[in-house]
Amino acid sequence: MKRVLLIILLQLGLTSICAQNYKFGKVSKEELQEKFNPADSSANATVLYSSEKIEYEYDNEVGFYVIKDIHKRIKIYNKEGLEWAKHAVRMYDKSSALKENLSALRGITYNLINGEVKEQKLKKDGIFKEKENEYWKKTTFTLPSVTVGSVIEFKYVVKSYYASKLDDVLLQELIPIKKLVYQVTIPEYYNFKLHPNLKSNLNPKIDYDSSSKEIIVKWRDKRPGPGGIIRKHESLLDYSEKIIRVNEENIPGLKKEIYVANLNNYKSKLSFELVSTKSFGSKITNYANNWNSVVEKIYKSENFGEQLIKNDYFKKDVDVLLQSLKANSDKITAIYNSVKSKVKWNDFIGIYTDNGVKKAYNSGVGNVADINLMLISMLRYAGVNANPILISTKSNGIPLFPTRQGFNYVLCGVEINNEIILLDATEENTTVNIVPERVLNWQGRMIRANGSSNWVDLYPKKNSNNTTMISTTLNDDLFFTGKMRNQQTDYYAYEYRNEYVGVESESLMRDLSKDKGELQIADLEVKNVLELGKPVQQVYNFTYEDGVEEIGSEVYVSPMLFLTQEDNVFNKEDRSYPIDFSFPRSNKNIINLTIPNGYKVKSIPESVKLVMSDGVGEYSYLVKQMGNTIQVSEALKINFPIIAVMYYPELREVYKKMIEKNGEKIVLEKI
Amino acid sequence: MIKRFLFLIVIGVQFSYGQENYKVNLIPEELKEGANAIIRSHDTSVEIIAFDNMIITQHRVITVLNRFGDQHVNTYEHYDDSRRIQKLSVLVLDAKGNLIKKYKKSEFNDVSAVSNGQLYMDNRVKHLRYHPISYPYTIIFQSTVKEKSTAFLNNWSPIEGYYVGLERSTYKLVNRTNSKYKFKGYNLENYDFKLDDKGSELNFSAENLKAVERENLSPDFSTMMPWVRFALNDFELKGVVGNGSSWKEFGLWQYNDLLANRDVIDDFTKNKITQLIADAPSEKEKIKRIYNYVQNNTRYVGVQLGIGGWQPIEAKEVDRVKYGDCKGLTNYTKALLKSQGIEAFYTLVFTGKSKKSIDSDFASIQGNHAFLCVPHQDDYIWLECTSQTIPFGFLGASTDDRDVLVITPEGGEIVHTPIYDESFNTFDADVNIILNSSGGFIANYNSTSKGVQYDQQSYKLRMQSGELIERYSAIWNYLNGFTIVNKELTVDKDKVTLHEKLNISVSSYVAKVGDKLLVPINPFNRVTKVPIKYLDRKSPFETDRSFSDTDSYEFQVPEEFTIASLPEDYLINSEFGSYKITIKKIEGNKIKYIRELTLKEGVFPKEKYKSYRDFIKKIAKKDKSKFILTKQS
Repeated sequence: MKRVLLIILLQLGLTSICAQNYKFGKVSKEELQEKFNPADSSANATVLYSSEKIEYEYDNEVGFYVIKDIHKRIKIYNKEGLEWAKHAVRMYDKSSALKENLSALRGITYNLINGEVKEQKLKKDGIFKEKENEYWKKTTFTLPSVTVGSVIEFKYVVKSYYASKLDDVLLQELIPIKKLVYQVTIPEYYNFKLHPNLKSNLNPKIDYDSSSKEIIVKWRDKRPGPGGIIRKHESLLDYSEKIIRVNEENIPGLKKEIYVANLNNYKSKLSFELVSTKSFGSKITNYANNWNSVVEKIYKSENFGEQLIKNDYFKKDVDVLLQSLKANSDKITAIYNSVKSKVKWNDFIGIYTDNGVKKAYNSGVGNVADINLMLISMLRYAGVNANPILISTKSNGIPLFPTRQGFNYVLCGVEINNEIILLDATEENTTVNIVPERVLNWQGRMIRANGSSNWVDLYPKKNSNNTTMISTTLNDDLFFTGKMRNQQTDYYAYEYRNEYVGVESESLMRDLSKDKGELQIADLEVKNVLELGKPVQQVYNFTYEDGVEEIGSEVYVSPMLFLTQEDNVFNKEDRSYPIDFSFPRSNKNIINLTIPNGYKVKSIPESVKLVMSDGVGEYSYLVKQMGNTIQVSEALKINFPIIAVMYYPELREVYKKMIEKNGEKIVLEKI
Repeated sequence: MIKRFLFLIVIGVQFSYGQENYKVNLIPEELKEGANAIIRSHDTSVEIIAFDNMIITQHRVITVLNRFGDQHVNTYEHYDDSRRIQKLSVLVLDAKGNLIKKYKKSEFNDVSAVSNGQLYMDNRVKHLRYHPISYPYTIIFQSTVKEKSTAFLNNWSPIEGYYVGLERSTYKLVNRTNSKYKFKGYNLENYDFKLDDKGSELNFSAENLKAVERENLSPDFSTMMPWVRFALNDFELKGVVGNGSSWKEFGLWQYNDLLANRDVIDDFTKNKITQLIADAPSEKEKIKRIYNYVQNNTRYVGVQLGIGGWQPIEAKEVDRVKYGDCKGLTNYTKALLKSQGIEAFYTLVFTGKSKKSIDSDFASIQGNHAFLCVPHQDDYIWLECTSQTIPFGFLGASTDDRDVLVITPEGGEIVHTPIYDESFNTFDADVNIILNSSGGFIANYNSTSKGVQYDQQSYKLRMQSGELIERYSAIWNYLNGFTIVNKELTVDKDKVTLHEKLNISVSSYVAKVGDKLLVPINPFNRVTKVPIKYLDRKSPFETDRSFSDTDSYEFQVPEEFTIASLPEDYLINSEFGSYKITIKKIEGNKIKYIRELTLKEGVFPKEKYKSYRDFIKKIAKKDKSKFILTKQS
């Protein structure tokens, strides 16, 4: 008993002795000796220490600017971890006023050689500066002599003149972080509000503090009137600063999972919202602090609101278009199709127009805002109640607070009979209420002509249907012949069109029969591929030589034929994040199978139905026998685009049952 | 063997840059068949003024017929310190041939051209992306580039890609230097083209070539399509003068001008290596220890700067920073070996799964990767120096079985790298499966992958535990309710083997039919993908590296069930390989299933595609065989 106690005491003593020293250059032998991260033994590397210190400094020419001090220490545990020995810093490089610059880059690699800590410095030949494109530049560096077991350390300073914007603080990486220190000191002239990511499983603790600072401010002025004298002023300025600190330990690495649209939505982070600024003369300027005011500012921009007012450039063309049209729905369709065919998307997104609607219209190319704002103003011109909807795309994630950066895309919303119809004219195959999948994220903010705004749900509420009907006969020679009819609506039809518009019939048939065993398709007919409002319909005749096994005097038939699903995408037991299906769906397969003469049905699979709680989804598999014909109808419904983690066990059960039923057989017996 | 090139001599192939008519309806109908884009005309002119001065002019007119053709417009030019873009423009025409848009050089996007996997390169690219209003449309691309390096001359490839038809393509080479040019055509046998070779000027041209369809399993595009390679016997490469009319001479130049004296390391490292190999019992062991030292102490970082794209960074620099690209790490390994009196040769290769050889009878700058060749007894030991994990002396499937250029102090030499056949690329699995009465099973799974099969599976060693479990769930996603209870992966690098020892539980495996259970006999190693059916196969097909699998499964049947029926034994042999299954009842209530599959590598004529497909189809069908259990009454 005593001995145990002694050991515990010794261990306690030991930990306090080797308390980590996080000063740059003070890497310990213990850190170098560590073979794996005790908190996560499978980690390839671990951030031992990550520090970010941000200070505001003052310059008489430019005013306040931001100095960001970064310091990282990383342990490499295995060869896969070696990729963490390189690091890239991306900086804005477009306008000289907001340009960012990197300086004071230092890096050291530490290795344990014969029990000695050996250091090697990062030199110029390991640093690379690259001008990526018009807007961005990048500094990349790679540390020397990094092997398994190395600890690397680097620090640098980034200077930014964009003082009213503070970058998000990322409190999580793909590898674990042992210790993270963040500190920002903000002068009273800037008032930021802090927003943690509530979607993350982690909950960082934030400390607040304050201090004061003195600076000498110099300025000049000139007496009014000709020949005025220039006067120099100098004064001592004493102001208070707000200090925000985060001090976290043992942050787990962010896990990747399938059916997640944007992993960053679940990353632990802090965002800063600028609420107001104050001038030296104590004049307060308020900035966006609610969505209404954010939207108002966007609306007032010449690259947004003003673009909605212009209409002289299209008047003539639209007048011709509208000539004989009375109903609003016809006007909408005509204008929507006209914009789609006249102006093509240049792959750039944004809430502001690039070259302006007029230029986009004349040149036939534009960004998202050019195209959709043009669509809105044309619709308004035609008397349709069309309004812009600001949204954040899937890759932009979900904003943590009201900010202009929270929006990066603009859609068109039409209000008819208390309903809002979504339109996006950037793509070929979208249609009324079918918008690109990048847009199906969170919610959008609709701005009316009078400047008022409110939230609009973007998630599709209507299930997209994919229905297949097969009527087939099993021949005496035990292969199937039959006819397949398939109908796809909404998002299924949209996806089908994106894939197959313009594909020749022969390669389409090859594609449709791919990985479906011995399926031979003939007389393929596809309807409505170019008629976007209508469901896509496919009909073909087929022969199918799989799915039947003769064992003894019995014949085993897979009643789902080539629709049989064998693979379970949700085999994994646990789940960390919500499952993103993008759109709600109903899949239905109905098979009518006639058995050959000389056989009788010995057994058929059991019917089942599983219903998930709260109407999230359901699965049914129903089998009926009517003489020589057997009907199997299978249906899977997922009623929400995104499903919360709490439903995962039920969802997994549904998929398991579905795969199980797909494997079941009808048994026939020779008479 | 006589090359059956049909050289039609035509005097004075005309280049016409003038006003031409590019109406879409002028394209012959048969060219549009199966085409997404048509090259209306593509004229390349390469004028070599001096060894350090070459002007390349391109005039390319392409009509894009549909959205799949957009990818072929290729309106870009690369540039760097020794390559300047002098002229660059794009004109866009509508279907009627009317000019609808003009782009100047200043309107092109200017971006860095650091490619995937590379940390830094000093190469940049100016490109233009046109967003078509409608199809078809025509793009006229014109560029003039002044290049200081004459080591690379443009190829002539009249068929630019799959689904691209050709109206007219010309290539003109003008040589104003006193050095000779040379050229070699590939796959020209079946195509009509014209050649006019005056000795100082050469013209190639071809007209009206139909679009080619991409088919599954077809060999690499460049091995089927016509193209011509060009080179000068004397040239300049980023400021380094080079020459070589034979591989021997060419290799000698590379050795003397790019490699010599870069393989020196300091005494400290030399002594360390001497100690490391002091007690090595054999020469081979010495080489192995030095290779392991490189693997454990360096890493791959891709940096290509100036001549550094062709010349390795000095060994002592790699020794200092402990990283490098393929050239740097290969040269470093060479230097360490040299410090111990072991000779090794820097070697150039085309890396990739498709086995592209350095052309043994056309000496020019070729290859895209470097590795090391160590002569040992009467053979060679090949060392891939960019991987920290690949077994000693093993190349894997990216540099095997092809001609490579070995650079020795006496000059270049073409050597063929090892072929890994089915006796080496094996997979053996031994599995005990205990079925339970509720339809699931637990299995003790033991497998050994060797050779190229090791290479294909070795990614598992690099995965984190959670990732690996997800990977197994994905591989066996048809095993419903699949769980890995336990896993242990071990490697024997000397034998190039990976052992996987797994405990697997599957909750829902059999299909229940009345009182019977239908049990698939092959849970783990199924051929599921049958090659796509073609009614009219047009191209030859290629099968991947030869391999041989042996799976041995023993099923323990639950007590309350008896074995009602077993699939029959089966054997099939073909020129593509062989497949054999044997199934028997053994003591107690057990079933023993043995499956042996060998598939052979090869390129086969299109006529054999159907029989290959039938062969795989039969295997896939047999892999789905089931046995039946009935409940004892």
